[in-house]
Amino acid sequence: MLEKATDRSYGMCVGKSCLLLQFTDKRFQPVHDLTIGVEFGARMITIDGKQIKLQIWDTVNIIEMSFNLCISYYRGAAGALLVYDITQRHTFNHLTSWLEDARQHSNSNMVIMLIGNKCDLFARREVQKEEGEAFAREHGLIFMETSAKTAANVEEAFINTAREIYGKIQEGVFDPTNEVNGIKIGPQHANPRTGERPSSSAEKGGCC
Amino acid sequence: MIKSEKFWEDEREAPLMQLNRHFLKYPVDPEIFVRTSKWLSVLPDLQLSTLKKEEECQSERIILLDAERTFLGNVQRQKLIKVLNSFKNEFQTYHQGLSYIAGFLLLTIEEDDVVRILRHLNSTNYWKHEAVQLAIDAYVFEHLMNEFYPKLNEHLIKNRILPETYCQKWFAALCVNVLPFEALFQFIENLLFYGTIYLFQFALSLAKHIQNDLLETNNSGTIYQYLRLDSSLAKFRDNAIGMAIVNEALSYNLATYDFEQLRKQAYDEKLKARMEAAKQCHQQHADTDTDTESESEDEDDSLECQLCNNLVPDYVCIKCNKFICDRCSKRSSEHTCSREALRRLDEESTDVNSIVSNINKLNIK
Repeated sequence: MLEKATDRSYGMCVGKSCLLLQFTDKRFQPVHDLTIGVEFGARMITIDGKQIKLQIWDTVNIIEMSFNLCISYYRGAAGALLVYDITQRHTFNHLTSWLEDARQHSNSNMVIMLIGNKCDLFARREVQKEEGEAFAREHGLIFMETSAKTAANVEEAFINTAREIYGKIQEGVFDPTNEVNGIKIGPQHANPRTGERPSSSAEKGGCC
Repeated sequence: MIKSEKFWEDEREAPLMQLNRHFLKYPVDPEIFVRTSKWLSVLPDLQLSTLKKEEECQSERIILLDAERTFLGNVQRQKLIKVLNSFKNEFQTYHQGLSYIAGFLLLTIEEDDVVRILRHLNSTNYWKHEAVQLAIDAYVFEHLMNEFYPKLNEHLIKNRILPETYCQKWFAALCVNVLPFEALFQFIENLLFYGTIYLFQFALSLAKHIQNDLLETNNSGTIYQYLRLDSSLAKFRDNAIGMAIVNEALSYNLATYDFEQLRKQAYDEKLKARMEAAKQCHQQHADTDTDTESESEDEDDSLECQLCNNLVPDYVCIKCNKFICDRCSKRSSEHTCSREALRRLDEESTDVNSIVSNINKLNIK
């Protein structure tokens, strides 16, 4: 999972690790382990009757990058979830300014989903849902508000991202035989030339 | 901390104690305190502790959270918070790995002395939000690995496993929650006695011990598991391998390497372009950011002018060791050193060394 840590202060705290844990283990742990370097999560899902293994990276990057560099840096990722915290305005501001630059120059096919996390804390909301929606619309991203705590939309966020990647494979935008796209055809794949893809694994790299 | 029975009631299941593996137990063998008290002998004499009373009160959210992610009991958390606040107040920086490190040191060492050790170890300059020095050293390690274990290096590159991701646990978090306690005590001891070069020796020794396992897999998840000595792997279930890695590390002779040169090369080749692109990207949005600055005052950016705390710095002053923006550099009321002491931050690579060493100086007080 390519996650843009939106907060430039010492700790990210937008809920990346909690989202991942909710998706892979279906539980919320407010006090999770420290994320240092790269942590991993994986889960099998089914899309259109096909088994797909999602491999998700949860990362802390040590130095800032521009978006375009990020893309090439994590060229093994097919999709990314960019997470901000709806109760911390600066996490949204930073993320959007970073991404604005990005989309203008990038011709990457990477599927990007913008996530406003912590929507259970509506009383402390600093970023309106409409702002997230408007930004996503303008830049061609998928958007969702989630709560890692109540699990609201967490499944949907990951699965929709995967579905979108899967769609791009079928349209021929992603070539699943080229691992550089972050997609691998599973071992039970009988005949690579028939174009049948019984199983694929989408690998998502982390970022910034 | 570990002398009290209450500690053991509270912390048996604490995240920090996961890899204790009965190395420390209650009642505690006093030998461990004798051992860690010797660690203090490497510290400069004149270092005074800066622990203040008020450091117990005001804490950043991340420090409170990290204390919760390290200890379970309130007494232990409060001690840790105090130490972390002290570090943060002194250096105006914080890294999440610090919580584990400080927590680990607090087990056998008093707060004041833990602060002194952290201050000493901070000369690595790794504990920054934008930890350039950490990334540089990760690529220096990659270079060394390529000399000692070229096949492994090629394998990691092929699988897009980047040194700056996996080195964080060894270099910035100093192997806490990577090595079991028996090996961890020896690792920290060696680091204090032999200096930063030990980190590279350790990393090479680790690479050697897991080389064959890594070469057998192309699964990035598995590769990362080996790189973090994940205890869910059979290989790391007992303490022997950790001890072997830590001890054999000392047999690597790296004295012939010019680390200054290697660091400069790593910066030029691996990081410079990336950092400049990122800087450019953020500069373009500097105006929009300042509009919203009032709403995000708690936002701290390690790469801003240290005089106005606002603009992106253009220079580092080698006299006062501050990052300074162009505007403040021209105002004598703000910056009193002569202009000759200024070095442009984006200047050609010739000055990278001085920038790196100046960044270092900022943190060695």
